[in-house]
Amino acid sequence: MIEILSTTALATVQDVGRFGSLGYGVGTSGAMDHLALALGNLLLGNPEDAAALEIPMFAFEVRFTQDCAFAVTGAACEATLDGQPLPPYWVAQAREGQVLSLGYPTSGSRAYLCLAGGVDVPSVLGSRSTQLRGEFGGLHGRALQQGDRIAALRPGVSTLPTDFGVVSPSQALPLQRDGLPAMRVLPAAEYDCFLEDSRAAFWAGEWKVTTQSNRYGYRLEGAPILPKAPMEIRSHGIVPGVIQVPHGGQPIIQMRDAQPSGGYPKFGTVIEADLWRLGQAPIGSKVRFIECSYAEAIAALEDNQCYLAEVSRLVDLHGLASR
Amino acid sequence: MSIASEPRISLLGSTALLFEAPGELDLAPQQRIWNLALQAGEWAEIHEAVPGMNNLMLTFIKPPRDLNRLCERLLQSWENCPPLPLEGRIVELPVVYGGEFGPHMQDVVAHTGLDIETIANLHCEPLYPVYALGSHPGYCYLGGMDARLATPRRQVPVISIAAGSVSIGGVQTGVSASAGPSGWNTIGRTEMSFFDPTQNPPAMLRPGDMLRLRIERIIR
Amino acid sequence: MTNQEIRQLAVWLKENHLAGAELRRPGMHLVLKRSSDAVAVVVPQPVKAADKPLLKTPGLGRLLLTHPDQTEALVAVGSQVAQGQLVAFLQIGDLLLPVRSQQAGRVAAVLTPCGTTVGYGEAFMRLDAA
Repeated sequence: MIEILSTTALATVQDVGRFGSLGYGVGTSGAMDHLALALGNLLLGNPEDAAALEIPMFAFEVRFTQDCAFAVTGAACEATLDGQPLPPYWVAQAREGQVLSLGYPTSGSRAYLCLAGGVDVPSVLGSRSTQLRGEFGGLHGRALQQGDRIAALRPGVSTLPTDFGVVSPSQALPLQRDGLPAMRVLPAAEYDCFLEDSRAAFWAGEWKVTTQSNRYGYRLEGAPILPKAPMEIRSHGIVPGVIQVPHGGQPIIQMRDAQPSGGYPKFGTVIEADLWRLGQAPIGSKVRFIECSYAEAIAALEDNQCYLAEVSRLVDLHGLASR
Repeated sequence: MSIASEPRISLLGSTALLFEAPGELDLAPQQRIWNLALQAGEWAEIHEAVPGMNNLMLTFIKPPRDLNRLCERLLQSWENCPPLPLEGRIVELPVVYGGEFGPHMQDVVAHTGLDIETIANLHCEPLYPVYALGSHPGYCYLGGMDARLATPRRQVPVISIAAGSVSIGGVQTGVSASAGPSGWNTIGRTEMSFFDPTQNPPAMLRPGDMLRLRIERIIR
Repeated sequence: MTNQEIRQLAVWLKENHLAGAELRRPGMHLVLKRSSDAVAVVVPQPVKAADKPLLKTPGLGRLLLTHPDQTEALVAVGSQVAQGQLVAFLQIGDLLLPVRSQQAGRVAAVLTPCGTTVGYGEAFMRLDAA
């Protein structure tokens, strides 16, 4: 059990997401950085669908009200346990009464606090992720508040090894263009309906993550993307990663809390394999986009899976070695 | 934009594909979409088949390597897919039009050239079939709005509109189930609970149900 | 790769109940296979850390003095180090294992550059005893 000590806003319970309810209008939610969540769960020997706390605002502080193993992944955020520094992407054993503090990140924008066994909240429509719009899932369907108490499914002193870490996804799977973090984009239905100059500028330009960027969507700022002619599109299903271009020409990239349908013209889709990179891009930072094919999008997903499989193998091996 | 004469398939990254039916937005093609959704939802590589407005999104369990085969199967199924006339319940909703409940009524007045009373009357005239659910938990996309009311989506989406907002986006209309952002023009408000995650199914309405809107009050 | 490193690898395989291991480096290809009881393994003597103000590597891997996601080294010459304090990482594939100081003291010298592949028991840091 942990108790939230900070007043920090917008921290939520997230797992891999809620799948199978799009037809009821329910979006997937889920962690903005799927890899960070998966690695936290691997470090703790948790099931893949275990939920964690996603923390987008710092400083953040919790007290362990009982012994519990935990991992901190995602943004590198100067974590300390009772003042002792914890490296990024690290698993540790907390004792009753210890305080975990997460400072302002030096890289990345979202940290994940994973607890042994996963966060113990009820599964609603197949997921523990917080559905903010629908006010269900997570802890009472809302962001966490000071004083909230959250239980772990496997508290106590861990029988698995703690006090080790893994190389972060940004080191293991680097992707940059001209010194900026980059994401691969697959063109979408209305791509050809935008001016050629706009299309070229999209790939060539730098895009600033504006302050109006959150779990619903990232609003970017750059050279406006203009259509050849105005478009009104029938509402249809969309997924996280879809780049919508409203009339103003400034793109909005749908993120994990995005609604599951929309009708703004679609320029492209940030591929699922790279969406974590955007989820870690801080407000005010700049990113670039790289055009890719469907085959490349699949290969990128496989690269991510290989990395996770390799980490899983090494963690198991370390577990054996520590017995 | 011109109306497509052939069905169109496009990709939503490696997560899903979008099938768009040809022709004008109408109930008969929507009934074929419902039928296609039932079939495609059973295919091995498909996680969920999600009807939209005369279109269908298929999300992948795992992105298929052979995309062409899936697309061919989809097109073939569409050709052989008769309308599936779902006959649901009729639900009546009282609506207050205009004033603080319809913050974008003036934009619809300006775009359509109609007065508030005419807009409210035209908007309440049809028995609206629920074409699809989407946007947010419990939200229904309705078909059959009078084309004279069509108003483009807003230049900049609104950060939050209230639960129960009755709004127009292009040729479509709908009622929001909870407060949240929207790019549509809100012209009125109703009160109804559309979603309860503890129920099965969690959404109160489903494709094929009908909505009857009734003017409770018009604020001029 | 030294004989001692190969011996250490064999110990590690035994401890992990692993059947074998294969290592490829430029100019080298090493295959180790363990039969269930025939292998006689020489266990290296534990380093008596308290006697010498040297910190030694606890195993095979890449020695990192700075976390790959951070810019500052964990400790530098002149840093005061407590017993049990994290002073380096041993990177094995994507895994990072902690290297902690066996004793308290002040860092007098860093003997191994960050990123060096090390074997077992190599001195990488010298302390002035506290």
